[in-house]
Order: sequence, then C-alpha cells, then structure tokens
Amino acid sequence: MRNRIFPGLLAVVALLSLALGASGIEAQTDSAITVVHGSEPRSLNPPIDIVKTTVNVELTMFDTLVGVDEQVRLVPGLATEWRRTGDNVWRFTLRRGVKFHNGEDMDAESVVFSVTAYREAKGQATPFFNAVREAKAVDKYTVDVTTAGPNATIAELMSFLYVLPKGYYGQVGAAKFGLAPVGTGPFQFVEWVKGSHVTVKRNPGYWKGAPSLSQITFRWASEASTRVAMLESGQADLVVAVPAQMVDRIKASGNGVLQIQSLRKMFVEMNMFRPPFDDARVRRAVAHAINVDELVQTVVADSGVKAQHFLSKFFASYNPALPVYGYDPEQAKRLLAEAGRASGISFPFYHTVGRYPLDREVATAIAGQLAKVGMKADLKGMETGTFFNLLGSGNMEGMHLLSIAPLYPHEDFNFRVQYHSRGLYKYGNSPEGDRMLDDAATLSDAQRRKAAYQNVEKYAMQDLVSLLPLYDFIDIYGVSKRLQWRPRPDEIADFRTASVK
Amino acid sequence: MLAFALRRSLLAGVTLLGATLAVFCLVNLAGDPVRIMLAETGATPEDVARFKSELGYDRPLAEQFVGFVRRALRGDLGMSLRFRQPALDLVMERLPATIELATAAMGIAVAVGVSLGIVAAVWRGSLVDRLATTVALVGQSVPLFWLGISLILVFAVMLRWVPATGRGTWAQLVLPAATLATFSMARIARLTRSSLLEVLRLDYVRTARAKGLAEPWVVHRHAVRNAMLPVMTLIALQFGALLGGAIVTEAVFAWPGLGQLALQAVLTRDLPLVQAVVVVTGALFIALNTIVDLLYGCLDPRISVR
Repeated sequence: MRNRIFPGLLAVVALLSLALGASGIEAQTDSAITVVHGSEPRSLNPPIDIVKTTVNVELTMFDTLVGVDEQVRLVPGLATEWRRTGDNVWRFTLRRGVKFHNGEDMDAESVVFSVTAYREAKGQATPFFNAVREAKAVDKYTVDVTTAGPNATIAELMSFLYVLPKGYYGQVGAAKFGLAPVGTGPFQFVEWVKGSHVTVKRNPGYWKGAPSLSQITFRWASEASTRVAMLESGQADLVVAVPAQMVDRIKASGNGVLQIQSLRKMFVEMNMFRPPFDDARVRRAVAHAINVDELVQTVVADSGVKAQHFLSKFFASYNPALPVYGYDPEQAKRLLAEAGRASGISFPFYHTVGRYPLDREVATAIAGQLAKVGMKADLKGMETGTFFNLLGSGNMEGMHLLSIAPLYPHEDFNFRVQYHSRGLYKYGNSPEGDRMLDDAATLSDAQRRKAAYQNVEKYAMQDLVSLLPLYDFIDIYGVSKRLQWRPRPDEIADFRTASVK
Repeated sequence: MLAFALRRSLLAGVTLLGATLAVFCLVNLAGDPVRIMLAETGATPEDVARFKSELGYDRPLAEQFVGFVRRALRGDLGMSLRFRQPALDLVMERLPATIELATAAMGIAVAVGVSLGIVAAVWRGSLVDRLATTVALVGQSVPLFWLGISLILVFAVMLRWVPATGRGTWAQLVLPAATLATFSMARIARLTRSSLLEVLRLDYVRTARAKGLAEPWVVHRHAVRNAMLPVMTLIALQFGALLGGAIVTEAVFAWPGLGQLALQAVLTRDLPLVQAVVVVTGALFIALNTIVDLLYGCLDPRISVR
C-alpha cells in the first residue's frame, strides 16, 4: 500500500491555490491611484474613528461644514459663511444646490442631523461635540449652533464635522453607514473589501468641479518597509509615514519623497504636583539641562525640526519672540542647588516604544543629557496602550515623553489637553491657567485672541514650566513619479487637487 | 468511540473557558480599555467616565466576565469598542484569509519538511544530510520578519515576479505562505529525519532488506509510513505555531487575516475583540487537535480508542 496522506494534502493545497487564483490585481489605469496607509479604517462613519489615516479616506467622500486649506486656515466648506451672533450662538450659512451621492439634498436638516449623530455615536469624535448644546435649522440653508457657554472655538470645531445624509444614515443605521458611506465629497464610495482595500471613484457632479483623479484605492500595510516595497514595486503611488532612514532608498529607486513640517510636536512633560518636580526651580533646571540642538542634530536628524515653542508656526498666535530655554548645564546645577537638590535627583522617565518615530532613542538621549547634571532618569519604555492608560490616570510620576497634534486648528485644543485642570492630562495646571484658558476660548476677535493665547503660552512656559517643547515632526511621504500632490502639515492627505502625469 | 469524542468535547469546552478567563484577566490587568480608546483625543475625564458607564466597564470584573460568558453561549461575543461592530463578525470576516494562509503554509511545510527529512535520513552523514540539516536549522532560527522583508525585496521589488502584498491571487499567496512555512518546515524536517532513522534501525526493516527488497522500496513502503506517526502529532501542534507566526507574517505582507486584527485589538485594548479572537482561534485549535487524536487511532492500529 502506498502512502496516501501526503500526496492528498498536497493536492488539497494545489486545488486551494487554483481556486484562489481567480481574481487578479486591479490594473492602474489612466488617473487611478493607489495609496498605502499604515492601518485599515475601523469604520468609515466619521464620528467613530478619528485616526488621521481614516480621515484621509473619509475626506475623499465627505465635506466638512467649514473647510481647511493647505496652511491649515479656515476656508468656506459646505458653509459659505459663519459668524457669532451671540456669546453662545453661531450662525452658519450653507451652500445651495449641493447634493449627496445618493441624490439627497444637503441642507440645514443634514447639518442638524450630523451634529446629533456625532454626539450619539459613542465614537472617538463624540467628546468634542459636548461643547455644542444644540444645532437648530433657522431655514433651509441656515443653521444656528448653540454652545453650553461662551465659546469661540466652534468654527474650528466645525472643520472637524463631516456632513452626513440624514435620510440614508437614518435608514441604514450607524454601523452599516460605516461600511458603505455616502457624502457630498469629490469621490464616491465604490467598495470596501475588508482587510484588502477601500475604493472610491470620481464624483462627476461635485459642487467644486469633478476631481482630476478617476479613482483612488486605499490599501494598508503596518510595516514601513512593506509600504516602501509596495511603492518600489509599482504597487502604490503614495505611501505614508516613511521612516527617515528609508528616504535614500526611495530616491534611489526612482520614486519621489515629499517632506513637510507637521503640526505634531514632541515634548517632555513633568508631573509638577509630585516630587522632585513640584519645585519650579527643579523644572527650570531640567529645561536648561536638555540640549535640544544636540538632540535634534544627532538623534532626530531628518525626522524633526527644532521647535521650542508650544504653539506651532501655523497658528496665528505663534510667537517667535517669546524666549525659550537655552542649554546651560551650569545654570541647571545652580537651580538644583537652590532647590536644595545639589546632590542630584532621580525619577522615572516614561516613554512609548514605537508609537512615535525614534521615541525610545530620543528618551534615551535626553536621559543621557540629564545625567550630566546629576539628574538620574530611570527610563521606563512602555507599549502604547499601557503608556496612555497610566498617563490618563494622572498617576504618572516623574517625567514623560509625549507628542500632540491638534484635531482641529484652534489653540484651545492643544492648551486644554495639557494645561487645563479638566483637560485630558493633569500634570501641569493651575487655577490661574484655567482662568486664562477659559477666557481665551470666548474671544472671537482675531487680535484679542492672538494676544490672549500668546499670554497663555508665556504663562505656561515661564511660570508653570511643566512642559518643554522639543521639536516638530517631519512627515515623510513616498510618491510615484506620476503622482502630483502636495502634503499638508496637519497629517491629513487631501486628494481633492491631486493629479497624475 | 462516541464516549471518547464526548469526553474530548467536554474537555475542549473547559479548556476554552480557561483560555477566555486568562485573556480576560490579562487584558484587564494591562489597562482600562475606554481610557486607551480616548487617549490622545482631548476627551475630558468626565467623558471617559461617561463612556465607561455606558459601555458597562464600571461594573465589577467578575460581573463583566460572567456577563460575557453568558452572552457568548448565545453566540454574542459583544461589540468591538473600536469598530462599533459585532466582534464575532469582525473575526469571521478575517478567519478565511488566515486559514488560507495557514493551510498553504502547512502544505509547503509538510511537502518540503518531509522530503528534506527523508533525504537526510536515507543518506545519513552525507553532504546531502548536512545540507538538509543546515537548511532545517536555519529555517528554525531565522526571524520571520527578516525573512519576509527579504523575500519581498528579492521577488517583488527586484525581480517583480509577484506583488509585495495583498490577497486574492495565487501569486500573492506564495511569499507569505513560504515565510510562514519556514519554522514548521524545519521542525517537521528534523523530526522526520530522527524518526525515520529510528525506524530504519528496527528489525522489520532489516527483514525487508534481507528478503532482497530494493532500498527505495524499503524506505518508501515500510519505513516512512511508520516514521510518520509522530510527525502527524507535530503537524497538528504546528497549526498553533502557524496561528502565532501569522501575526508577524500578516503584518509584513499586509495579509488581511486574523493575526493583524488580533494585534490591533490587543494594542488598543479592544477587550471584546480580543476575547472573540481567542474564543474562535482557541476553538479551532482544540478542534484540530481533537481530530488528530481521533485520526491517530485510525492510522496506528496499535492504538485503540476506548
């Protein structure tokens, strides 16, 4: 008798392979492109998933109530104009004649419905809309948004509101909508093959004129080397989040590299409510002990740009005149001695491993610099989830390395997260800071707003000194020769004006 | 036989419950799912508290676990925190891709591993043996991640024979399956070699040779069949290793399987999703092993199932 098991197994495998061989890879025709992100969207229902790579996909199919341009300034979107009509009321005037991909009219009812959907979705975007008390249709093309208290951040918040079709969304429900969305955007949904790709095609009736690209296929690969290989092998036209060390390789392969200074900022933060950092002199000593120039030149290199102000240069309130802490180890030692810590301090230094490019390397380098002035940082590298869990609990001792990028372009976003006693992280705040932030958030007048936030930053940097900005990230994209596209500083890839040669 | 199958099923259920409990404890030890979900979003602590109570994460752990098991028995593994979709649906969507990858990998591992093992045993001590043993050793020690990336660079970027990633065609399956197969292939090769060497020393083989049978016939017809019995057990166990290896392989080749989903679920503490993955893969693994146990009795008449 012959051995039958293994030939049998082989035959099964061969048959399986044949069966799988039926479908092919789509050809890249005329102006269709393929974009590769690091991860698959969890849902295409905008309130659910606010990860930037998901936003990139959603932005092709939806329009926001207020638009954002390449310089992260507010521009008309589905609302042509907006103004604050009272301390607590904002009035939005809508664009006429805009239709959703399914033929529904986009009107005041759609906007009112969208605000409600955001508030009820239990998604990552939901908490932001707590600031809105209600949205009410005044007439078919006018909406009044009422806030809980005086609030000047609503226009920026509405640049984060994707307008949803009331009829279709109501009919299919939130979960199904997230699998097959309908918007007003320049592209319309074609298919989402789970695990494989999302495809969108040109919307010929787009209100701003049909886009140049005929189709976009979004794929994903969590490994950067895989994404780059996809670009090099002609499988992709655009890949995101390219590590700086792969730039030369991409250029050598004949593809292009695009880099832009991002709104994302890296900083170290100290717990100002627990020793040893409950003494402002110790925090100032740390500020003088970190050599940001050396850090950026030798460790961060092409992945970042030195930026020691809290607000990014893209904000109107950016104040380059505000002095920053210079590297001065002697001053650091003096301050430590003044604080009665001449013998040095030791503390835990928490950081993520792999959440941000070079996070571990940067933390290690900073610990090395601090050691030179008698500050012993005990490095505690953590997996991302564990890190944020501890950080959010408010019980993180010592120092941590963290980065932040605003979800919508208002100064209040960054400041409130880090510096408000009711913000997400509670390591540096004061009643004075709370008052300044609450007041600033009510100001609509551009000049007064600018002055107020410059004041907040000065207070945060010079009085609180709980947080030390280090550098802005540089976002790196790999692009094929034929793609013409420009990156934006807010980590969002917008394909509305992209084209192929 | 029926009693045996029943006993095995019962045991399988207990094992599955234990695995679920272990995962439940581990994930909860590692952090608060809602806080991690809202990290970096600017949500206030009040938002976190409200989400927690709405999603039921403010109740005692024991109560949460009992609730989970009770719903699971009705086929409801809960809603994924991140996807806002039923966790079981998400797992079932991804399962075929992983089964496809694991089956193809196992096919390669068995075909190559057994052949290498036989060749090495038959020509024991020769250059061929040393070569085969070296291949097996390298296969067992090479990191999957490195191997996968290297294969992509050679076959997708330089030679352009196959696409770097994706699923759907035969060509897209080759590289990930070969990568995933490597470890199991090596183990199968080594076990086949040692098992066959042992059998070749037995009396009945000497008898077969003595009665004048040609060596290939002796090996093929008499020795290999018996040498394969321990290899069968190893193959069943290797499916577990394949599911684990699939996490790395799927990440490298952007293969839309369960491994990637599991990794994402763990990193984001999507508790319902992690549990759904464990329950489904655990059930699969236990079922496979039970089947092999039963098969064993058919293959080897010396073992009888009571």
